[in-house]
Amino acid sequence: MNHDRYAKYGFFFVLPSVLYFGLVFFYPLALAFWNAFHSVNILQATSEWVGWEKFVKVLGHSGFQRSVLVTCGYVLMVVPALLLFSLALSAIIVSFRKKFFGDVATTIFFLPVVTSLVSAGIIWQWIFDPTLGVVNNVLNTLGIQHSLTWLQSPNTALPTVAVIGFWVRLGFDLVIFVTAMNSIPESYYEAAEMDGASGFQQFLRITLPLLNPQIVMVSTIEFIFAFKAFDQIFVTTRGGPSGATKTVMVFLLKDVFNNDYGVACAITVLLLCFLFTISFVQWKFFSTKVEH
Amino acid sequence: MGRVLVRWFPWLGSRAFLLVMLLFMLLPFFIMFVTAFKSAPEINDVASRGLIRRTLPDHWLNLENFRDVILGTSPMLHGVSFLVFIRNSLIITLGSLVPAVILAITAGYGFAKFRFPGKHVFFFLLLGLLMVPIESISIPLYLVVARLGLVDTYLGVMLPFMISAFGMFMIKQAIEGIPQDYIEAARVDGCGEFWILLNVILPMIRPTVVTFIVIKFLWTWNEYFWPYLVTNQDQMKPITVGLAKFSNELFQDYGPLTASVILTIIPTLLIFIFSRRFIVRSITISGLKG
Repeated sequence: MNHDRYAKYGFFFVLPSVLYFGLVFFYPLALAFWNAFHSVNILQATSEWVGWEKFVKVLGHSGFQRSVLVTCGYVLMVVPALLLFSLALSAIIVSFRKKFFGDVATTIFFLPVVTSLVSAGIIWQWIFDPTLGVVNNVLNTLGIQHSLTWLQSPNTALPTVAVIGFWVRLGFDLVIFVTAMNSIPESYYEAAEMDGASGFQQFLRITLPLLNPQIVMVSTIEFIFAFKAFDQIFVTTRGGPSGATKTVMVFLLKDVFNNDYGVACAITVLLLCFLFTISFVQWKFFSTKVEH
Repeated sequence: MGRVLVRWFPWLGSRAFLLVMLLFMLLPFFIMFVTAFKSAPEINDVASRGLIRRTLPDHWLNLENFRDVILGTSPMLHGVSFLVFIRNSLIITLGSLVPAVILAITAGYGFAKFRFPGKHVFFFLLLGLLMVPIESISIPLYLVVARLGLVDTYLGVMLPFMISAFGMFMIKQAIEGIPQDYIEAARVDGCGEFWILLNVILPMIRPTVVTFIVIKFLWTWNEYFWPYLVTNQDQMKPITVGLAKFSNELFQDYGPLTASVILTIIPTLLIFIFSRRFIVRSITISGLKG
């Protein structure tokens, strides 16, 4: 079959997208790299190669180090919780004999996914309001008078924004797991049942191993999503109190962007390389797993 | 007896756990709907009420908050009607949806059914971008937009949203499933390549295109980081940025705030309810993009 006659059509179909991607992604990308290695003097319109200077400055900056720690803390709170809860809940949902209940539950879990993190942040901020919010009101009614200032104190602020992130993302992971679990042939479980395996054993021995690709995928997606956490944090705490919730993205936008554009670009480059590596490793892992 | 307990405990425990989690998921929506119908004194007067009286609004038809938000008379809105934000969000979302869909279909077709030099290089470059979130490129992109003089314009906000590697990837997958024979037959009949795309390919991938439109609408509607960077004037802000700005004042007026959150969420909830099937499908096809 001679496809070459049509090669030019294929090229023209793809060309607009490639050009547009070039403008919107590759050009800024190149710009970020260029700015990260050059010191630009806007007044004299000159620039000078400074090598790794900006990266050294960023990595040695205590604010940046702190923000990386905060981000890691956030990731460690959100990602394992998401995996555990979504796996357990999808196992329960799949076990329903009536499909209807499972569908209703899945739909409810998915509702927060379609709301924006900004809206979620605002509602949860109101729920966690120290004097008027539901949480402290219920606690008071239950006789626990010691009211916490959830988003306003350095110890509880990060876990509280993590709850918001958890709430928004849970349904997404759940849908992936529910669909994957439903596609496992019933005969596997019937065979295990014959051998006298309990429900929990079946989950450990059959469901989890077969779900491996989805678990890898979900953990990568959630890792990246949590690592770039910004929206609900910026809306509720603006990175405060005293930097307790200042993730890398909040630090980048609040402390660096307006002060030192070159350093902001260096952070962008670091972030891109890091996230790209994570994605690439996952992609490699994922594509080899599927072949089995 | 012991056997019965062992048998029933996992059943009961798992149901209870599911129920608690369902309540946790629904709580914010419930709180949002109740608060939006409350007047300021109702919200602030906690001490003199019992838990139920203080949770439910006194009058369910109290639309004051919605009125204040829509007219812009709520103090935190400084005279800007919330409808301005909704309008901006609609312009930005729909305006970027059209080019994104066109580019995804043409590029998807080009990648799926043609061979040309550089195809694989192009494809893997675009695929690579699928893996990195848009936020990470926002800072240098801002410089480009600023140089083009597009800060505080709809075009500036829409710029990165007018193309979607995800959509391109999804539509390419769908087109690859169509047998080559259909295309060859149309070519033998003397049809042009673009005509084939419109009249042969497009009708066959309609569900995928609809899925993409739905998911892209929701993403763009909920986008915050980039629109926050490129908009300064209230008149140009989309819903998320408008909401965030007015919740950041020192004094939080939760009545109007929850009313405006409801106005923000309703379009997305409606879309979700009517296209649940498509959304779930898109996630299971590829759980890409967070």
